[in-house]
Amino acid sequence: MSPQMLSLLADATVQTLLMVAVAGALATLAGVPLGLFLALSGSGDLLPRPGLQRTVGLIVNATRSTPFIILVVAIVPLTRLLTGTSIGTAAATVPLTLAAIPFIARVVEGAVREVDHGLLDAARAMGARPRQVVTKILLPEARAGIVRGLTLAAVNLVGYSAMVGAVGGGGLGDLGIRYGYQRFMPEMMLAVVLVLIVVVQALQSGGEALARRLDKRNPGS
Amino acid sequence: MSDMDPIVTGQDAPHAAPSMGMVRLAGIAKTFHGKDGRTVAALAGIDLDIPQGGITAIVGPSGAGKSSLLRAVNLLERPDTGTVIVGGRDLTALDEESLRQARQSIGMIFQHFNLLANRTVSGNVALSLELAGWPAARIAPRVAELLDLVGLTDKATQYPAALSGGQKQRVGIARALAPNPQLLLCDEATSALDPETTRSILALIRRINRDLGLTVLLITHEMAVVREVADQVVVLEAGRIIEQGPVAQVFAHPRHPTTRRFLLGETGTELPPHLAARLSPTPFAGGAMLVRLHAVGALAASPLLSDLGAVGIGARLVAGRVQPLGDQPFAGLVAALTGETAAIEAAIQQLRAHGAEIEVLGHVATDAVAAG
Repeated sequence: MSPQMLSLLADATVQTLLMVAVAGALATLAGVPLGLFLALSGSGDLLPRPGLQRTVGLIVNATRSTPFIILVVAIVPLTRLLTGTSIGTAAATVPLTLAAIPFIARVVEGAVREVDHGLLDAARAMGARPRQVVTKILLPEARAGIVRGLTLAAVNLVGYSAMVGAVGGGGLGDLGIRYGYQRFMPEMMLAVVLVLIVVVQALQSGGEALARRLDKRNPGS
Repeated sequence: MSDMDPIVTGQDAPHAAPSMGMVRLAGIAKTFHGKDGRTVAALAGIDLDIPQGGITAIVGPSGAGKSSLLRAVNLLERPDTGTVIVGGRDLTALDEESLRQARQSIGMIFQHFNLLANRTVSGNVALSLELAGWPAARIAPRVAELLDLVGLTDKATQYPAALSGGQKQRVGIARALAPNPQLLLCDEATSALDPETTRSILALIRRINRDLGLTVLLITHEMAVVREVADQVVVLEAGRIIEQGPVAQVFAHPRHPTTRRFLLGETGTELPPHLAARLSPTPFAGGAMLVRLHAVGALAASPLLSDLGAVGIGARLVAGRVQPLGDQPFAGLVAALTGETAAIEAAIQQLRAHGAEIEVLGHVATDAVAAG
């Protein structure tokens, strides 16, 4: 592969990592609190708001069931409003973030609900405030599950970021389609796929290693 | 046989001065509503005083409402009606914030320990102090003090997953005691432990009760736990208190059939099945009278069988056990008596006069006893 192609590949890799990082970070900021809300607001939970919880749950499900490529197109006006454009890396970050929020919310909800109910009894018996229950018990006990969920979300984002390439989002997917597919450069397509595999592998093993370190539920860990 | 403890001699003996009540429950009722519209009364009007400084055990079969009753004391489960007074304060009248503060003076330990898996032993003990708003500088020395009390100083930096069940419960106890509570609630605290570990945890609870003057309220389905650790016992059935009193009195003179049934296994006085099958309600020639006898203190330690022999009564031991109850011996025996009917009747009268609880079970053929 020519140095020019290699530099294209390097730029695209940086763009992809940037999209995944920014979208992942923004979606985590929004998704973790949303997941906590879903986990804590059912009837009989710590802070019951069953009506609102059902509504939020519906919106989360609706977003998750919209095919990503349709979401990208459907929210173009919002993307333009936020980034001033509908193509390029910055624009692609908007639908990526929006798609990742409900996913992260659901995995966080699952991880928080997994926390042994007995701990909530113990916390209440010790006179914990709801905020303390969240910060001192639920989040620390659910942290390994949350990290595993975020890892999964990051891997999904890598896949989605390749898809936004199809609509001018930049990054590795864009490179693969424009050079590998439209200009018949199989070596570029192969390089793109290989880089994606390496990125996903790195995310997966990094996330798993972190989750293991954080998880003290089994002896010897 | 004459100088017996006054608590066990008469059923009207004065209770151990419950004047200073630590917990006062009045009119506690709680009903659960099932999904199919049926309602189950978990607690049906409980009035109970828990004396300060003692160990009170609430015992009963599963589904009797023990757990609901214990969880009503710190309002983890709020009863439908009734008042809960702990240390002179009516918890049912408090707002959320005051209730949270009140709960910090009520420690609680659990059957499944409920420790945080992602905190070390020290971190778990520190949790109750952090929640109570202790400054960090005071937390570390207090945690060290408590780990010393429960004998886990060398495990301070371990995570719960590396501990045995008994060690986990010790962490639970240290956590509960850290903020200096006046009352400790134990929710089947030894039910997940083996007998050996159960004994060591009960000994620790006993020691804490004596050394710190802490009032303990525990629930259990095991009479062995009651015998080993409690001063007072409350027997619960179908959401009602059916019997209560000092442990020695209830063990020696159980009044309610459920209490009796519950005690059989613990006192070792269950009738062997081969005899139960041949029991006849009326005496017959060549038969022996089967009696169940419970006695506490000097009477339990006296040479009962040879005393009977001295008045011409043959007494064969069929089942039974002598075990410690607090600091006195407690005997539960089933014996087959042979001899003159009048002599047997007189002996039974005399034993009863000395405080023994005697129940005539029926009559069996003497050779059936020997065959057993």
